[in-house]
Amino acid sequence: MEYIIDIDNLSWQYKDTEKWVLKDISLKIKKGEFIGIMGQNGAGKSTFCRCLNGLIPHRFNGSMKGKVMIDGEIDTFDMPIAECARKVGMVFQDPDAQFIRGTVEEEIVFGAENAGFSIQEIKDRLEWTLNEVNLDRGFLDKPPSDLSGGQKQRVAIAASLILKPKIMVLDEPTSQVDPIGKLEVFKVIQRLRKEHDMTVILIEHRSDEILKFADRVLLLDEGQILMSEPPNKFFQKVDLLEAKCVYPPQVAQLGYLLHKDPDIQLPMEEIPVTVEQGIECLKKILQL
Amino acid sequence: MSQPFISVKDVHYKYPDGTKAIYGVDLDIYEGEIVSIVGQNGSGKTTLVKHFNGLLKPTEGDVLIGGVSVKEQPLGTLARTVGYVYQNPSLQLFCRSVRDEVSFGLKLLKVPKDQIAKTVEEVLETVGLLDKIDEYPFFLTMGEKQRVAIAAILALQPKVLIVDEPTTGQDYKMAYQFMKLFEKLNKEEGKTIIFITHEMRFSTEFAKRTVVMSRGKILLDGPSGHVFTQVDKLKEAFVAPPQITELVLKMGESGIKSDILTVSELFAEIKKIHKKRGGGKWSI
Repeated sequence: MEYIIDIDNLSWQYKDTEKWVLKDISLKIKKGEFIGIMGQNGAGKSTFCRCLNGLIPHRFNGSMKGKVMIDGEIDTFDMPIAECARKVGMVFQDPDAQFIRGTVEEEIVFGAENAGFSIQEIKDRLEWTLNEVNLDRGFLDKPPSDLSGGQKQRVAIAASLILKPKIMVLDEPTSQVDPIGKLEVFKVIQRLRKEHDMTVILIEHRSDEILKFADRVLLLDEGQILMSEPPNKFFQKVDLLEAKCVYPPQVAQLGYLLHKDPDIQLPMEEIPVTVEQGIECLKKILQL
Repeated sequence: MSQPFISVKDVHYKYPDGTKAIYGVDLDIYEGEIVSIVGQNGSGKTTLVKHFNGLLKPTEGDVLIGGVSVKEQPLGTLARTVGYVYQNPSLQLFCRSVRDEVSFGLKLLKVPKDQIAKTVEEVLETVGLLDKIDEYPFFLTMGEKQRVAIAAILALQPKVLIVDEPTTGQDYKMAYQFMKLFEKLNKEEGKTIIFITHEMRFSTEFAKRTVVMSRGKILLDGPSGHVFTQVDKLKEAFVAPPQITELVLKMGESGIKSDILTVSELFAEIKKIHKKRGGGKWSI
């Protein structure tokens, strides 16, 4: 089996600190997979993402053990960071912190200019990218600060996408965005998966989107992977999630109470996670 | 009922650039309430609450705080009565230490030095940051910055605390800690709490009353249990009810009370019905 990401015993420690932020992580991700990553603040989620696009070890100082292989046989350690960036696009929580140019157009083409593409190539890619993220051409001359949250994040995605990466890593892309903006962003992500079999890695605190979109969810805690399961099974582990400060869906919290209840004793594997599953479960319990 | 503490009377607001953000809002908030305000970005939530402490003055209509029009109250008095914590705490913090940050407002108000020191320690204790008193705010985590911002406002001992999206970008534990803190301030100190959120489960779990805004108007206002059953209106405001409310609604004629809001309430209700029906353990 060919994996697009193959991580072998990865550990990382920032320079001048005692703690290993990532400890002995091994993980294989298939092409086209959608991986959700959850875990409390300080669990190592963002550090983990930096290891995927080469920011670690190329731009941060520290000690690294193990191997991160992206799209084939080259270790990120031996891969120039520019090539890492072409393979792995990154989108962060706060798009404003990521924007450095005056207009949306300059922002989007920045990576392509740096990659040294011809002007025609950049124009073609810009056209393609705008279409992919469903962004109106009217925005091109505007400063990014004039845009709504959802629009800003689509510009940030476009700025990564113009390099045509095979993997997108999104670090809480919608935590500052309202529900409509969230929908816009996730539509774009879904489309990239469908049409380009893009591999997606998403850090999220909220269970809703993970539940809807992820193939597999990782629980990261103190630099280790504590759990790696499909969303349904993942969210059934309510006690573990709550202990690690992750939002379980409310329906799963209810299911967990029914599981612990001596009169009802709902089996662990029957704990509902979605509203639809909750309805089925309650109908059975109440004999409706 | 007693007189409302905040009374918004047919307020319209137009920003200086001509953008109209509020189209005729009437709203009364009473002392000791916890009210959540929800709605899309751009629906006017932040613009509305900024009227409660004089940060914005209505273009038309009036806002009365404690029975007096905001137009007749100096900003300094309003700031002491109604505290507003910004959505992005980085915009609010500018001092070199947490102590200076929290003392700043009190110094402006010329409170005696020893009194300032005492108050600062008290409010930092309340938000759980006493051990960071000498740190540089810039190096704190997002959650800690947010708490410093809250402490700085609490130091002024306002009667009303407005918090704008306090849980955005926080993990579960931190978000809950914030909500518990507001609950405590409400219960123990009688503070009126108004919070803006996109996290509907916090509206149902912590606020007895929810106001839904859409396009600069109030679309719904009432007990959270009632507001979140108004599915069509919520859709119009692009607000999705929390899972538990949706579950209760979709259960239909099941004997479950329709005004259930939280996980523990629904659990207790299921236990009750289960018992009444003499139901046994789960079987397949």
